[in-house]
Amino acid sequence: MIEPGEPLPAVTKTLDQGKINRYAEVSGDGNPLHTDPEFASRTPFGGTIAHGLLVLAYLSESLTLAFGRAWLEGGKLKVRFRAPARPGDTVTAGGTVTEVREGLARCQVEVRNQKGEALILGEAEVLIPLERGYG
Amino acid sequence: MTTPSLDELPVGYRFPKVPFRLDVEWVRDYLEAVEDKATPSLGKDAAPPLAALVMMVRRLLELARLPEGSVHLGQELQCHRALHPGEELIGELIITGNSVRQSWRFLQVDVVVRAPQGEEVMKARATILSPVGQGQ
Repeated sequence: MIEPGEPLPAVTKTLDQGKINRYAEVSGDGNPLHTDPEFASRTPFGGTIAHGLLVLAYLSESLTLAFGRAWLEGGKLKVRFRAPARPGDTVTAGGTVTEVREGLARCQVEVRNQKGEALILGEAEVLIPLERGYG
Repeated sequence: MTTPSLDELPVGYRFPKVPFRLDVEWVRDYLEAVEDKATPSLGKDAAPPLAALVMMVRRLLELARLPEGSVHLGQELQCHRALHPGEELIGELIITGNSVRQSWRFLQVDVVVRAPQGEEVMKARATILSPVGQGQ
């Protein structure tokens, strides 16, 4: 039975420039802010940052662990990117179920870095799989 | 023809529809790049919704230049059914916001992904922030 207060599984990853470059290659997003340390050092960020959708994928993995195919079949997500993730950061994606009503679980979701700083904050909704129960 | 900068496009602008294949090998590469071990555990027919979104962002970056200094500010996503590796899909990209506040431009791009028969399978909205006066 899924109930309010239940935590989503934590997904923790450590970023490095190689992972960011690999994602840039696969996604086709070669923005030098992500891939060129020399260029990025001259921006307000002071260095390269991970793609927002790379970090968001860690949150998607947490939701998949929590809800399985239900997340893939009918999930809904709304997030704000609050701060960048940088090479060397260890980030943890997860959240908490905040409300369960008529088979729909609402969750507060987040990704934080090793300092506890919020990188992504938002909300997700997922129709709860029947086998996990709702009431 | 010169590729337009995203900030030059008016609200309501629709890019030509983008047919694409959620290629099996590409999905595998994507899952490896994002270190997603949960989706493969659901079976070979499972693909995360973000994979289709990333594919559409890839197409968007081929159709328009992102203003220099742009950052991803927000993302919305809604799935109507599961996506499957190998599936043929059609994407639509629409500019739904382009406004300036102080020294920042707020760009909003809606993404709609449909099956070839027209069924909407996923939709998303990206909000992008770019400094005014850059990349123009």
